[in-house]
Amino acid sequence: MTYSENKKVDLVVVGAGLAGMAAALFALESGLKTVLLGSTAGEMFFASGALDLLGIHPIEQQKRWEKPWVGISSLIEDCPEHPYARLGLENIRNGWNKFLDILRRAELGYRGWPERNIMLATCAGTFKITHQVPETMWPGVIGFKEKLATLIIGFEGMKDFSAVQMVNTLRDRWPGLRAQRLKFPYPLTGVERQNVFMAEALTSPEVLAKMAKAIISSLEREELVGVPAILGLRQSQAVTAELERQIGVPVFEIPTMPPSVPGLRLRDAIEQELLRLRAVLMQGGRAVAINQNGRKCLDVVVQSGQSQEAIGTRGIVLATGRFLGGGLVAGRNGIREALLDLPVYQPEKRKDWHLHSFLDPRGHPVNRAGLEVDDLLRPLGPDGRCACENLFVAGSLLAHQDWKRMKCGSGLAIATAYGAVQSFTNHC
Amino acid sequence: METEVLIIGAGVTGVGLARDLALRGVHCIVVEAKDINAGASGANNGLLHSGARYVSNDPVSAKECRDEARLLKTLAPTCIEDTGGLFVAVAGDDETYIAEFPRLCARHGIPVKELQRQEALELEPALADTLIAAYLVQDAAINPFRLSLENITQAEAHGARLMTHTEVIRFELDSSRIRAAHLRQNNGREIIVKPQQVVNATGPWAANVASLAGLSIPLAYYQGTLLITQTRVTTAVINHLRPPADGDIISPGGTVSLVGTTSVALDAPSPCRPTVAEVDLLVTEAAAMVPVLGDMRYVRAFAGVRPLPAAEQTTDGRSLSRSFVVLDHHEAGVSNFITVTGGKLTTFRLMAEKTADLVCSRLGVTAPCLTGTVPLSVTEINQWTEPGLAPRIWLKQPNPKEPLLCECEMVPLSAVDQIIDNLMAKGETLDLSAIGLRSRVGKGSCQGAFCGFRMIAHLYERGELESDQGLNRLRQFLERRWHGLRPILWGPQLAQEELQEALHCGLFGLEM
Ligand SMILES: Cc1cc2nc3c(=O)[nH]c(=O)nc-3n(C[C@H](O)[C@H](O)[C@H](O)COP(=O)(O)OP(=O)(O)OC[C@H]3O[C@@H](n4cnc5c(N)ncnc54)[C@H](O)[C@@H]3O)c2cc1C
Ligand SMILES: Cc1cc2nc3c(=O)[nH]c(=O)nc-3n(C[C@H](O)[C@H](O)[C@H](O)COP(=O)(O)OP(=O)(O)OC[C@H]3O[C@@H](n4cnc5c(N)ncnc54)[C@H](O)[C@@H]3O)c2cc1C
Repeated sequence: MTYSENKKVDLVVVGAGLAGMAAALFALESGLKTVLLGSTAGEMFFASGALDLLGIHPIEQQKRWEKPWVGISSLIEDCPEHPYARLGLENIRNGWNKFLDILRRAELGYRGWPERNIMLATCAGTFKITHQVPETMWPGVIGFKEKLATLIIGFEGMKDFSAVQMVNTLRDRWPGLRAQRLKFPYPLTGVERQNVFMAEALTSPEVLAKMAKAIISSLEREELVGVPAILGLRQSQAVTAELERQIGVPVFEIPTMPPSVPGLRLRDAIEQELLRLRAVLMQGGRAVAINQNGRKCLDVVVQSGQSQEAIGTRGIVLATGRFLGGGLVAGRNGIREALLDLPVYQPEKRKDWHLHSFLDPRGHPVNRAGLEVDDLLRPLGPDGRCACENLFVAGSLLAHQDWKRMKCGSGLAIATAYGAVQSFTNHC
Repeated sequence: METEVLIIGAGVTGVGLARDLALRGVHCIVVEAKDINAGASGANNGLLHSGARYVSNDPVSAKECRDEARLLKTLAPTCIEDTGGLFVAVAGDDETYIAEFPRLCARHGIPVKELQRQEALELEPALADTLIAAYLVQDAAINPFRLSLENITQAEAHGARLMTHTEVIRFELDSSRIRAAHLRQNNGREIIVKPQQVVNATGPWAANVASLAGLSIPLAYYQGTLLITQTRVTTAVINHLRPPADGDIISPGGTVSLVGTTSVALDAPSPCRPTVAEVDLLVTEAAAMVPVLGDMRYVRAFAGVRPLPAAEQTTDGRSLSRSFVVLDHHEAGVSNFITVTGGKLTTFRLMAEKTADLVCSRLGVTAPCLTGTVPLSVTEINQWTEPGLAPRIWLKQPNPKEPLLCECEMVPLSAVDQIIDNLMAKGETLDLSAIGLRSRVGKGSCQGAFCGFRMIAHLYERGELESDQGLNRLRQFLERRWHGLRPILWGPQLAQEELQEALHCGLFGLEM
């Protein structure tokens, strides 16, 4: 499907990270004609695939929330500028639930406890606080909770994953673990994107059967098997089920270093859903300008290869991410918003961007830099008033949040995407 | 433990001295609080000075550099890239200084050739259009890591012993001499060494160590900060043709360039940390000579301390001599104690020779110094410190089966294994920095975000780590890299940092 020039659309979403994709999904669901601009690679390529809602607040005190919704209420009270506070509990819940419904429809299974956070064991041997994990990771969550005797499988030559490391590091908290290194049943290359390559290989039934055999012969008394998250680039649940059937015990996936296969699966599932809902995806397109008339945006100028076109629209969601995504650009003397040069909330001087210790629990002040918005998520202009009436901000580009430390990345992306689309439908 | 000579400090001076003494058949032990080149020797411009930089204000250093650089080019060519150097002036620079420069060089016997503007721009296209004068000199680039590692390797082959992560904390003194030195290792163990002679080669820390023997050495401390570019910008060393000031030197370091330095007075030799203000100053100053440095991606900053022998500090220390001192503490009542400090990387061999001469005269050893004639031997294990070597080997003979542990610098797993085996054979500590020091791992644009994790995983697979030791090593490693990252985080390097934090905090929760 291509965009036809003379027709105006309802909403252009700039940026196809998690926030942009979610915004496009919500818009399409409510019947809006939607264009999604940008490559869907985004940070999803890196993201673990687990969906965080809220884990830590306040971060200075490292206070962990077993019940994320209770945590969010407390956050809303403490930090009225945090995007969650702009949205309100109701919106966050609605957006989150709706997003999970969509994943269910896309047949990408996710699991979690209704009101509680999950402790997910990572390949570093640490635990990640998160709220929903891919179905393929769930048996591991239960396995840890019940301290089941578990075999962790690593592969020779898989440089980013060590079963020995995981088992050693977790030993005190999960005593029934044992590590086993196997040869990967397919010639491994040592080059980049190793995980993706392995996941691709495991979609072949022969390769999977060979792996199953090797696992069976190394199983002792374990009731559970953990493997790096490479069980199929697509149809991971089917691949996992088949592996379980062959070896006769439950299997779970463990989040790895990037590239993250579960992140790619999430992206693919959303992309399929977007296409089904007839989104216009302009994968190669980059927004290079937005034409305005006073406080109203008229169109988005899109660059695709050598050609440029202007897409007339009633509204825009800006979900261009931070420094990694390209929504924010940092020079030696300050941080700019890349597309419209909107005012960016930031520490006054570069020397105050980062603290002296990388792991300082307070989090680096620069992480809270970003766009300030009104209650409708519209960015504020230099005069402190809403800069454009029909422009809304979603995702990590927003100021006054530190998703990496608060463990709220996906929640923030999804809830603000929902809020942005709500604001658009109610006010434009 | 007994030895003829205890050398304190494994910077280039200490290891150079160990090699000198070992070649003369004298037994020595080198003790180092941290690791090889942990001080100034691992935090400099890597410039093998032709001497031209010092012609105007420090003729002694100029001559020492001139002679030593010549000698090292023939005796340690593997550690040197003979790039040549340019002294360049741009619009606004002092014309009288420019005019004086070739005459001063000639007076000190330092070869110099005037270049036409066009010639200079052809040689170094990155130079600014505002160029007004250029002179060619015999500067070169030297790899200080390779240099120190080869020195100690050869010293060890001749019987010397190195103990890293071993700090001198106390001396037992007789009425006139040091009877024993107390050492503390990082595992808390204390060792006592009974040496005949003690040499304090601790560079900026020389006064601290001397004070353990009740002596006072007047030293002034100046922090110098440098930047590392992502890609190399010039073929030759570029010096600013003006009286020595901040941001004067752009020297090649294999695949990258080093931009230095600043000079900020400190009260004590440590801690020293590069600051945002210094980084900005360097970028501005260096861009005046090579404009691309204004928008360059920098992967790291680092700082070292110059110990300048002086009674009083001046504001920037530039007027103080860069020559070295060998202090015989006999006069002050400690008859078997010598301090060597100050000087340059370029003159380390000479510093070692002068010190060894004094040590030998006291020990009654008559064997002559050999380091001025015997080439520095080279060993394969030390080659991984060379920037660009791993990619060259890899591209010549790619082995798709072998994982690259470090993708930025293309260091294969087998190289890291070699280094680990070697460290273990010597009983040295297996921390990530030790591996990083002996290779390029962690030095590329990811600055350890990926390869740091991989090294830990690999150490577990080899069985070298247990329980959650690895997490703490990783945290330590990341914190160390952080000092050098913090001041250069803008542009793409800030995006890189964001990814690193997403990984180490967002995913792994290492801050918790
Ligand atoms: C290493 C890593 C681990 C993570 N782990 C987790 C995790 O465990 N749990 C979790 O919940 N979340 C995790 N996250 C992800 C996080 O939830 C979201 O990705 C994050 O909040 C950012 O989402 P975003 O959509 O706002 O921005 P981004 O993902 O940065 O997306 C912005 C997009 O906009 C595009 N863009 C920018 N400018 C333009 C333009 N002018 N025109 C068109 N397109 C443009 C960019 O190309 C990019 O694709 C992780 C992320 C990383 C990097
Ligand atoms: C910013 C900067 C740039 C420079 N650029 C150049 C250049 O381009 N060219 C050039 O020729 N020279 C340059 N120099 C000078 C050169 O780097 C130094 O002269 C040289 O490295 C000094 O070596 P060293 O071994 O004497 O001291 P260091 O390298 O400082 O070694 C001293 C060692 O002693 C150890 N130590 C301290 N206390 C104890 C203790 N109690 N017990 C055990 N060990 C201890 C320290 O850990 C350290 O490793 C530069 C210097 C600086 C600071």
